[in-house]
Amino acid sequence: MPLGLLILLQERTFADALAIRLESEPDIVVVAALDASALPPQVFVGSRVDVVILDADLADNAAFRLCQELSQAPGAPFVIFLSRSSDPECIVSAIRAGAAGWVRKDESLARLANVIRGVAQGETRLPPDQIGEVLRLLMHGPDQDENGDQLLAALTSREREVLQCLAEGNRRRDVAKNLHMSPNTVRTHLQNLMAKLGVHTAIEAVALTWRARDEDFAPNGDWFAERGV
Amino acid sequence: MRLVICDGNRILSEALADALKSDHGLNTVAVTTAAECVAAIGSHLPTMCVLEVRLPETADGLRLICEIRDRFPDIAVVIASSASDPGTVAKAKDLGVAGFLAKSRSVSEVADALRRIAAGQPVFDPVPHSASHRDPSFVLTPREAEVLRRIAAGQSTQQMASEMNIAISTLRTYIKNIFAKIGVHSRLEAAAVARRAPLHSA
Repeated sequence: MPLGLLILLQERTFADALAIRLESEPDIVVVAALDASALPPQVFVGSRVDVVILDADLADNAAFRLCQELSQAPGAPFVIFLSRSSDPECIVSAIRAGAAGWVRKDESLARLANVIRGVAQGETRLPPDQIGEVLRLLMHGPDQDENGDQLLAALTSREREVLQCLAEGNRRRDVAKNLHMSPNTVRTHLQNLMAKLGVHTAIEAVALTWRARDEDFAPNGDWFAERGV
Repeated sequence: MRLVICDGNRILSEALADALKSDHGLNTVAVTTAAECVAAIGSHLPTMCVLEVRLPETADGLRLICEIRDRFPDIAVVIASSASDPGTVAKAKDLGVAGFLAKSRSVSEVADALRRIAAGQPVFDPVPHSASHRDPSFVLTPREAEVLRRIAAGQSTQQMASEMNIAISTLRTYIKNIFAKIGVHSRLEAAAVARRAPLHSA
């Protein structure tokens, strides 16, 4: 089944051109392409939207609020921020608001299409050159002071295995293979464990295990990108 | 009709080129910097060149307009921008550009305008009014403008925070917002922008 894409950008020319271009991809259906500043996100609850492309450069940080609202609904779509900048602190705010991806506007269309497909599979995709810094901020962030050990203790043994396997640097499909599970089961375990840990993305969950174990692990640039976490 | 589109937003520039090609049969090349733009005009020999006036690397899209006008006087230059600064558009008009297209146009509306311009009919969209259509780009709050001035003066985070008597986290928020508004990724770039562009503060 093709994935449903919603495009919310500031400039109509941009939204429209992107819609026409991505509509030509065989596995993508553009549900709508709209001026992001003009409408309330509730409009889309109920339409089959798998992935939302959201303009990070809307005035007054509107994108971050919009992302939070979009991500709260059950069966919420995956949100990709499209931004002029790739400031790690902005990326961290986006992840905390529930975003699954971040693409700079000066990257390429090919990369954007790639990220859309990745996040639709439940992956987190960030600019490779910012991942190290983003992880450090996530691990030492101010609102992440809860006891990681306590949170991790609430996981089932199977969930802990999945998380452990990811934290060791396995790709998602290798996690499934190593643990003899279907990719869907891995996905379910991940969703459940992220809910228990109170995080939105696998990248945050992994950061939390590192923090809890007090590991001084500093992944380099493409660590996460290579693994598609 | 052959076109060169130049916009620092590569994804927009590629998508718009592809959309104009597939839906409107316009032979279009997409580039993202002033240097690429001049090179593409030389090799592609377009009828027309569509420019975003605020390219990241040129600081001043107006300089690029002059260069194209001087080196390729037969090529029509069209500005496509979300810039809400009427001064820039007026200057571009003085330099002899053939049109100004607001980025609130759909792709079909862009194609229609380009055909009209190619037929010798100038198209100038009204410049979006700053109050109604708020383009955050160069409109900084007084506090943000102050931070940017201090960045340009080479002050450290510590220094700024203590002199402005604000928390470092507050300062970071200002810096983050400034970067997003002026479209840069580092303090160095921000300082460069601050030095060459007069800043408007809200």
